[in-house]
Amino acid sequence: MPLDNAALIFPAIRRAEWVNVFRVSVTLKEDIDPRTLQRAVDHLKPRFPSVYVRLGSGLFWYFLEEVHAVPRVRQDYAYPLTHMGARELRRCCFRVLYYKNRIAVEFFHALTDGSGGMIFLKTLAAEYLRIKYGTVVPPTDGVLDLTQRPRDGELEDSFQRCSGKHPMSRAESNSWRLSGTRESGGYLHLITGVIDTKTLIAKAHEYGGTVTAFLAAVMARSILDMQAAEVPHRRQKPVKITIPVNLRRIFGSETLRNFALTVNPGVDPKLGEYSLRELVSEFGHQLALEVTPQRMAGRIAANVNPQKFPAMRLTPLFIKNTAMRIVYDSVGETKGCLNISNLGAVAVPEAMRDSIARLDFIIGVQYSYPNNCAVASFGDMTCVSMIRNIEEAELERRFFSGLVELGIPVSIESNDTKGTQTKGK
Amino acid sequence: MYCVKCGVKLQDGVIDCPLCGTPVWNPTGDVGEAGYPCRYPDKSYADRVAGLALIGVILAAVSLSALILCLNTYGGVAWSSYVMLGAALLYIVAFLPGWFRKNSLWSLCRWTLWLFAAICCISVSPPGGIGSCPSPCPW
Repeated sequence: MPLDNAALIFPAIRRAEWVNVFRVSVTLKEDIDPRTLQRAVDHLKPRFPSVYVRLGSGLFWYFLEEVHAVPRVRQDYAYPLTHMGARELRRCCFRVLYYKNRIAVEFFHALTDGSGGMIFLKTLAAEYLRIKYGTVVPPTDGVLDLTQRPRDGELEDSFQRCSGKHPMSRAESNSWRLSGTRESGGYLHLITGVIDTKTLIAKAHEYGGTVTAFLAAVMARSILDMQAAEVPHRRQKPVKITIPVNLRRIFGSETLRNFALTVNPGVDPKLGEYSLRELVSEFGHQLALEVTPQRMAGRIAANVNPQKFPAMRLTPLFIKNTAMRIVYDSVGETKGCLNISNLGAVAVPEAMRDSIARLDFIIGVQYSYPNNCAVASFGDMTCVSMIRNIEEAELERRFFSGLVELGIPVSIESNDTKGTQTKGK
Repeated sequence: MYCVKCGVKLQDGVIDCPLCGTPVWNPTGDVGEAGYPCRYPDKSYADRVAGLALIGVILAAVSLSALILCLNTYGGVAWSSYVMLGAALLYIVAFLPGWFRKNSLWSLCRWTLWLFAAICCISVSPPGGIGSCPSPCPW
């Protein structure tokens, strides 16, 4: 199976110590039985042929090849999104982890995006509950029917179908870069802020925006403050937030592969100071302006058209890899300070709602961004997961304490056990 | 429990606030549940810096061996220039950009300039270098 258009970049830009991965996890109300979980993972294989794959490389392109052996479930690690090396990718491009009452699935981004990953996770949790407790979960709300064969639409590269005729220019200004003292050994700090969904929505509406625009505005205000403390005003750069957009609703796709593009709304501090209400308005309007079918089709065309050039198709893979890596290093991560990837309110079938305590979504750090942020809501609980590969938690402190100052109570959880008295390590 | 500085609610058993590091007042001595186990992944990939350094040492050893051999045999650098230049070229083009995380394009350009400078130096080097082997030299 060839890689979809968005996935082409991920194998080319991976490094010995970094690869683009993300995690979705579900926390149940009882401890996980690894054997039952393994059986559930085994049962899902025929239904998800685009997920049970390994990464192969040919002379001209990378490709995904169905695996024969289902990956073994394993216990979670001390931090999420541990490095997925070349050897592991050649065996299987995703892993299933468990810890206490949590099931986590970590995907190499070339397989799918957050929405596709969440469908896999919900189907896995439904099958686990069926085997373990006999719970019959109907195939609705993103849970797939395991007795059916995969539909063609689930396996398609929707970028090819939805590409516009004219490519849109990708030129835009660079953003200020966050930095810090890198952690050694690939360790990642995760701080999750748990927020009441109704309170968050009410506050976002109070400021006249959506939850995504509101969180992006609070994040931008934190970064603007950090830049103001470090950089003289005349040398300050725009502060932009990279926001992935799920294209399935816009183009009516049911693909389980990648189908998202990013936009980079932001503000330039040289133009003047912004109140939070103005920031929310800026981000809301810029998002509304960018996220239209026509502009998205133009952005897709800008990515899809080079893939069709005969010269590009005939260029050997190692030359393509070098070129893509140079371009990515030069311009790929310069347009935003960090990602805020919001999965939104995750719906699950009523039959499994009572068995689930929470759902989490975590994206890994980019190659040069030290911070990233992902958001998922389930019921009354919104989990804002901020990950970083640097020692300093300055951005997290400003962001979460900023929410508290606005009157939004935040409960903080961390994977760092150094400052914790815990039981059951 | 709450952090007195950030105002966020913290997990039971936390000693320091994970956001600001402020010590947490825990009068009841509550102990919390760990969200992640103390299990670290095996490092299956070679350390990048160690690998780059090892390759550098190997290429330097090969170059030095060729130089010593030529000095003993011909009394000059003779064909060892080619070995040294080849090793330098291989390292600079293939491995040196790996030392730099940020921008491989810039580092590649920079070290290519250094390579040209090195070639220029060697091409104008005094007798004993490239193009002026003593008589026993087969090159």
